[in-house]
Amino acid sequence: MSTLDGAGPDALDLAPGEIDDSFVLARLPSVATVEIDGESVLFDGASGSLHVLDPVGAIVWSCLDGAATLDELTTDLSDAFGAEPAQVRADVVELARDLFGRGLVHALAGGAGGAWAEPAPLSSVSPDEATGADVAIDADVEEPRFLERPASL
Amino acid sequence: MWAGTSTFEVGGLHLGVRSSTPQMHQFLRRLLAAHLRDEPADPYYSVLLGEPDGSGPADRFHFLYEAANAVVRTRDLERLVRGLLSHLARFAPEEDTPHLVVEGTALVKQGRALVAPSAVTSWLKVVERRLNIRGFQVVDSPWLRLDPVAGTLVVQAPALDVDWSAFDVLDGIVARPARPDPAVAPGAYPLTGWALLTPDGQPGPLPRAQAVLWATMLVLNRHQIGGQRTLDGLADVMRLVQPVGVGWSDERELVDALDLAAAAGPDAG
Repeated sequence: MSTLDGAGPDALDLAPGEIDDSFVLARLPSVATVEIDGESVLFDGASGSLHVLDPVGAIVWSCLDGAATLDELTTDLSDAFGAEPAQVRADVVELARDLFGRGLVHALAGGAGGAWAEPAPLSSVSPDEATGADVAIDADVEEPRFLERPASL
Repeated sequence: MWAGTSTFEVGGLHLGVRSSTPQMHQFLRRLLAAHLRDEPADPYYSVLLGEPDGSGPADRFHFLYEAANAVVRTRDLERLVRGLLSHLARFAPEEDTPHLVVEGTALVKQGRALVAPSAVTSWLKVVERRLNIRGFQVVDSPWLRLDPVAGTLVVQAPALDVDWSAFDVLDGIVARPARPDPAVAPGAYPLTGWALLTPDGQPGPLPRAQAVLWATMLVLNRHQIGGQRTLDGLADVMRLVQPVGVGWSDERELVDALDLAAAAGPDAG
């Protein structure tokens, strides 16, 4: 669990819906993040996808350090915000599934000692499935082209 | 219509530049003698001088075209030439830069810079006069450099080997205009706003996180500097300005939208 650079040979073949609060999630190293006005912008340099997380999602995202289970995270967030644990748990798991489905996190089943699961390929996630983040763009932007082309006035 | 085409090598590319008058053709060959090559190349840029023909206003507009797109429109021949240099310099190899290189059109008003969508460039033929009336100058550059630490637009002198003494003869080609519209001088201009085209086209203030998201796709060197520096730099810029979404269907709406975007900045005059 010390490395997050790929699932390795013991990777789980995991569907996002299989993630529950016993899982540990870790942000992928390829995903850059910046927080601004309480929201987080995520940019996956590997896929080019961009996402915005609302303030609650931003807090959850910042806690996905590959150490705590979603259950432990739920307890901490419930305590910190005085929120109903059942609702927090549902929100956290839903967001975790969404982030995994978008290919932004690794997932580890059953806490320490389990095997990291590769996130699903981004192309397998339909917009209807992806509901947790406010905005998601599969940005595949062309680089500027420097080719000569004939002028045609 | 065309007096000649010269081939200039920049960054290993051979770029054809054609001119509408023999004087301009010769001027460019002197100006860029260090880049001049003998091999012919298809014209990539076209320098079209507006000459009085007795039927229109005394000062005619000159145009720089990139392919079929007018990228500079001015009565000021020096600005036209500097615009060409700026566009040619885009092909020069570049060392690692601390700047965000951004797709867009920059407008300077009262010493402060507004980043506008690159689509504005294709509207300049019909809106630049209106923009000038409202105090905006257009930066003639194929892309923009933003210094996120200083919060400025950086207008650089072109990184080309230029014979600047050639400018001494420029007035002999076309007389200086009665109403000059000079190029924006090299320097650093504090950013006052960022107007973004958003998919829904809704005008108005944008949440800064959304603005960072949309602007990320406009950072042309994001792969060179990396995703984290891209996001950090954009966030630094967006914290300084009030980003706004813009949309327009005619030139009046466009000018109004840009005026509002420039006025949205915290320190805008």
